[in-house]
Amino acid sequence: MQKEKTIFLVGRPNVGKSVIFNQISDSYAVVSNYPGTTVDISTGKFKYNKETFTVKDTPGAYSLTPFSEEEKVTVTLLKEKGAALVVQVVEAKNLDKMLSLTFQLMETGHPLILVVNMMDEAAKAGLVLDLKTLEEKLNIPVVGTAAARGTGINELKKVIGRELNAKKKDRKKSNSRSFTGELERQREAKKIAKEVMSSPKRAEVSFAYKLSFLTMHPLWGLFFLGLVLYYGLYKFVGVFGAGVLVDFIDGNLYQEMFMPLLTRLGQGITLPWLKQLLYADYGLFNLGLRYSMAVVLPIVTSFFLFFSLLEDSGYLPRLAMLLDKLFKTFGLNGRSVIPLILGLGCGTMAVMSTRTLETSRERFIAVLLLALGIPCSAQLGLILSILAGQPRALAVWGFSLVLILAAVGFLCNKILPGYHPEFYMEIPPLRLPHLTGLLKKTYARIKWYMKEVFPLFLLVSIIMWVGNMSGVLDRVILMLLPPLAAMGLPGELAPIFILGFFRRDYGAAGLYDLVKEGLLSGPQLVVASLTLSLFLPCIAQFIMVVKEQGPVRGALILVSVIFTAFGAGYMVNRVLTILPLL
Amino acid sequence: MRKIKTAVPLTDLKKGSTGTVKEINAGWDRKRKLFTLGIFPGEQVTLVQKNPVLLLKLGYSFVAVDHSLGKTIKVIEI
Ligand SMILES: Nc1nc2c(ncn2[C@@H]2O[C@H](COP(=O)(O)OP(=O)(O)OP(=O)(O)O)[C@@H](O)[C@H]2O)c(=O)[nH]1
Ligand SMILES: [Mg+2]
Repeated sequence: MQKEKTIFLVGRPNVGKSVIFNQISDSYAVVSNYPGTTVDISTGKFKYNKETFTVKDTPGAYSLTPFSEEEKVTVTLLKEKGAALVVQVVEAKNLDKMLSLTFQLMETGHPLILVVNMMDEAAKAGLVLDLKTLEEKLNIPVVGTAAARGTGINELKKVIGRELNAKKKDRKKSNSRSFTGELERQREAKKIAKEVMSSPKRAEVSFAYKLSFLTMHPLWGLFFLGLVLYYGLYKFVGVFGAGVLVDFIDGNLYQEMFMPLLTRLGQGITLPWLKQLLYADYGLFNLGLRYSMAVVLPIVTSFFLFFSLLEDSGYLPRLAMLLDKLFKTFGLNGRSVIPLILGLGCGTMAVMSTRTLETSRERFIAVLLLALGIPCSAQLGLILSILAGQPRALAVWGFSLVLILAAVGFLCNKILPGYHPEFYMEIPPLRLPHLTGLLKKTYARIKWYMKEVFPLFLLVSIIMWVGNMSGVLDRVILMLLPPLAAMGLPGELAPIFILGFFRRDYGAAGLYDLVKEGLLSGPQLVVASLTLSLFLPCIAQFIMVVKEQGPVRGALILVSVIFTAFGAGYMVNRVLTILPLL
Repeated sequence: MRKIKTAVPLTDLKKGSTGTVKEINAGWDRKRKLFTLGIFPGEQVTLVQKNPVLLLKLGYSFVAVDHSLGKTIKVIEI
């Protein structure tokens, strides 16, 4: 049997490798406008003339001597596995900074193709690139593309196919030469780039270019952030997604139309245990199906849409820059802003993206903060919607949460040995997000959400049912009563905390139901929302924490999270009984 | 007679001015970070913004570095 031929897509971060991967393969990799989107290898199939090859999309790497974890992934891969073909993607405008890697790749001896992507942006900047000359200078195939628009993709496929099938002796012998160091490589890169680039036209100054400076301004930037949070997060996700949309789907559709139907269908069921499993308060229909489909799904969908817009526009690196100083007091730096913000989407994915951070100290602090107090999209949406009618409660909740995160980060910075590395980051241009890309990404994430949520919702309902039937649930609830009482919370919240252990959003959904029944006072609402926000990360996230940080640090994180959550609940309750804030 | 300008830390430049990188006064680790961003001797950088971090324009790309990293970059103003 012939060994399957593998094509590797490599290049600097944010040059469009994943866009190209999505276009030439049958798989999907997430595309966003910031460096470090891809942190692990994605694999897909590339078909050419009835032949099938494997394509791998890799995390962006600046050079073949890596320094962050995700870069290591790519470099190790290139060194270990024999690649049939390496496709290096570069950005047209910044060709001079990217050819240094090309020289390094040539030295490895793999067959190489150079893709000069984002030709559309180069043209807008008034640049003309002579790719023929570049091809002659390097003596490897060069293809120009504007991948986001699909331009040049067919040509690229053809060249890849041709190179894969070329006999060794027919291949061009690349003009490989050895350099004494990075500096020399960069000089040569610059020289070649100069020879093939010319700028006969003046650059267009676009609206995005002007807006870019506004978002990075030390003062206006913060104002802009406020607008984004207010309209995007609060108005769109909180009020529209978690409010209007959930009211309609859960209230009007699920509870008024779907549930009565299910109940009628279930009238024939005589087995009491089955009836329990399906129809009890925590049964499949009232809990698992309803929470995941009618309550959480609409919120997650609206959140992912808003979030994709942030990612694809290129706003996140600008935010990283604005918040660098603040993050340094937590032992982190601006580079941690992106993983922590990703945590608002899903903690599990965010924990994985802490790989883009340089030191293990930073990674630990970031993972701890993610596990502790960064609410995930569904939870955040629900809490925003629960507290939407009470601006003061919302303010107390938000303020306490930020204060606790800051305090924990500050302590970590003081206690843990080590230092925070300096902040450096490329700031990509602001780009107008493509609608199809936006929808594709949102769809991919929803699919992923469903895949994670479905088995879990079955499991949770079954566990609650077993717990209920065997009496274990009652005992656990009894155990939870004293800490709840200490926080001034009613016993009805006990099962909600248990749910919260399985998934953060189920806990929030349970709270949402209690609030609808009018069971909680203002201070209780704040304390409960806060404790649930801080409470355990969901199972999936915890597994990822152990995977990335190891069992010892994982356990440490778990214990400190539980103590902080209940401790904070207790404190806030005390404060609220003394100060008449609500 | 032409005045010979001395190299100053990048952080000393005024907002909006351009300089040529003379040298980078730092260990290999930091140097490499700056190299990967395209900052190395001979390169021209424009200081676009000074706060909250330094924002530099290099050719067609923008790069942000914090002050402590920026201090290690010695430039000659042009
Ligand atoms: N204008 C334009 N934008 C493009 C083009 N190709 C990619 N982009 C945009 O560039 C950004 C980065 O694309 P990705 O495919 O995520 O880049 P990547 O190389 O995979 O980045 P990492 O995973 O971080 O290494 C996205 O916002 C794309 O929409 C292009 O040809 N023209
Ligand atoms: Mg990618």
